[in-house]
Amino acid sequence: MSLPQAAVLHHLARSGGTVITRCVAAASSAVLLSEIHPLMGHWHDPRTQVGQGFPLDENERSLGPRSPANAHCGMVADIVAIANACAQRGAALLLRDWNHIDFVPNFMVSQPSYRLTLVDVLKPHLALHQVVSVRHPLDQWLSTIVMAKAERTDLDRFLMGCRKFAETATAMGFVRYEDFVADPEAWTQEICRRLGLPCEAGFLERAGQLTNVTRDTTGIRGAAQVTVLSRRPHSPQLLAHMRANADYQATVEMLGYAP
Amino acid sequence: MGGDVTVICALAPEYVYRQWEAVNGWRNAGLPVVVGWPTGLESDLRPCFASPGTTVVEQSGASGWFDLERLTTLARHVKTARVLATRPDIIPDPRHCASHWLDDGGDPAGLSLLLTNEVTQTEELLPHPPDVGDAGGRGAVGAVLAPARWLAETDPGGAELTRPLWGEWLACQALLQARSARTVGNNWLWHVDDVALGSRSPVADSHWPASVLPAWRQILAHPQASRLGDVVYLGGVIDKIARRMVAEGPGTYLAEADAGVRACLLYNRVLNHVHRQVVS
Repeated sequence: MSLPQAAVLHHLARSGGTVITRCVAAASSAVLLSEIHPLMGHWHDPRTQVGQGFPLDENERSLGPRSPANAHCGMVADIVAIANACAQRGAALLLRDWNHIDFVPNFMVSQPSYRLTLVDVLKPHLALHQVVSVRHPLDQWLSTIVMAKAERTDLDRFLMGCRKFAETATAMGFVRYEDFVADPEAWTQEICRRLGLPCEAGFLERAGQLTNVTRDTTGIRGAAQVTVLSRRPHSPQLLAHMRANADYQATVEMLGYAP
Repeated sequence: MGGDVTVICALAPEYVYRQWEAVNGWRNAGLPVVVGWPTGLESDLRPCFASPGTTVVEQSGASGWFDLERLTTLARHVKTARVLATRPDIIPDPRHCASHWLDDGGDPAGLSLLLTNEVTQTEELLPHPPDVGDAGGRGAVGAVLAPARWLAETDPGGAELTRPLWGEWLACQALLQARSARTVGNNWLWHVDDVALGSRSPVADSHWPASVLPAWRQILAHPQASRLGDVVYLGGVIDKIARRMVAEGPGTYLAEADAGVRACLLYNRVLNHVHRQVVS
C-alpha cells in the first residue's frame, strides 16, 4: 500500500517563506499546515490549524491539548491522519516546515540538530515531496534583527546555521527567494510542479487573502504582496564581519549569491 | 576533540525535549552518543535520536534515571565504560550491582568504581563491604555514600538542588580513595562521607562548583588515571551551577578527559554547556 502524500516547504526564518507559502497554497488550494515542527506542536498545532471543518479521528482528539511537555507526542499521528483524510477527499496536503529551529540557535532550541527534523519523523509514514527556498544570508540577518530576534541569536552561529541549511538545500535543490519575487507566477508554477501540486491561475490575487498562513508579514515590508525588496541599510562593519566568516562565504558560494 | 569519549545518555521521559538538545550538542561536537530509550516512552522524536552519530538502545522494564539494568546495557554497548552507577533506592545493594555486572557477562576489569548516589539509608544499605570489588585483582570498587539525610537536615531548601552535585563531589573523592585503597590492596571504601564531611563543606553554598572542579582535575591528573580506566561523570546539575563550572574552566572537562576518561555518562546539562564552550 502506498503512503499518503504530503508536500513540504522548507525555509529559514526571514527568508520570504511566508510569501512563497501564500502563493503555493493559493495556487494549489492545498490544505495547509503552517510552521509545523515536532517540538512545537503546542504553538502551531495541526489539529487546531486544520479546523472544525476538517475533523480528525476522535482517537487523536482524545489526546487533549498540547503543551510544551507533550508537544513531541502524537503530532506525527495527527499529520498522518490529516494526510489520509486529504487523500480521501482528493485534496492535497501542504506542510510548511518550521525548520528554522533545526538550524539556527534560538530561544526554543539552543543546540540545533542541523537536520530536517520534520522529515526525519514523517518519512516513515508519508511520501514527501520537498522544496527548499533560500535567501541571501545578509538580507536574512538584516530582517532578523529588525524582528528583534537577533538579541537571542549570535551572528556567527546564525551564519553556521545558514551554512548547514545551504548544504541541505544544495543536496536537495533549491529556489532562491530573490528569483521567486522577480517572477512569482513562473516560480510558483515550478514549485507546485516539484511538489506534485496543482497550480490554478489567478493565485496571486488569492494569495493576499489567505488567513491561515502563520507569521503573516503584515506590517513588515512587502506585507502580503509579492514585492522585490531593496536591501536594508547596514553598516560596512557588519558586511566585513560576514565576509570574514567562512560559513558565510561557503553559504553564498553554494547558493550562488554575490558575497 | 573528545578522543575516545562516548557519551551515554539515559533518557528520562520528562526531559526528552531538553535531552534532544543535549544529544544534538554532543553529536555536533563529533562525539558518539548512545541513548537509552526506556520501554514505553512515546515520542515523535525517536527517529531523530537514531540519526547518524547516535545509537539508540532499547531498555526493558526500567524507568529510573540510574537504573542499573539500563546503565549496564548502555555501558556494555559502548564496551569502554568502566563505572557503574545506581541509585540504591532502585537496586539497594552495591554487592548486587557488582554481581549483576559480572553475572551478566561484564568484564571484571571493567568494574572500576561502583558509585551509589543519593543513598538515604546508608547503614542499612551497606551492612558490610561487598566482596566482589577486586574481581581478580583487576578492578576496584568504591562506594559513595551521599548523606542525603544529612543534606536535608542541613539545608532543607537547597538539598534537592545540590544533591546531585554533592554526589558528584563525593564520587570524585571516592575515586581518589579507591586509587589509594587499591595500592594497599583494599578495594573497598567505607563511609566516604567521612572524608567529604570532614570539612563540612557548605552544601548549599556557592562554593560547590569550586570544590568540584579541583576534585575532577585531581582525578584526571593522577598518574594512575589511565591504568584505572574510565571515569564516569554523574550528576544532573542545574544550569546555574553548570554555567559556573564552565566559566571556571571552559573546555577543561573534555580537554582533560582526553588524558584519561574514555567514557562519560551523564544525564542532562553539564556536557551540553561544556560543548557550547568548546564548539563556539
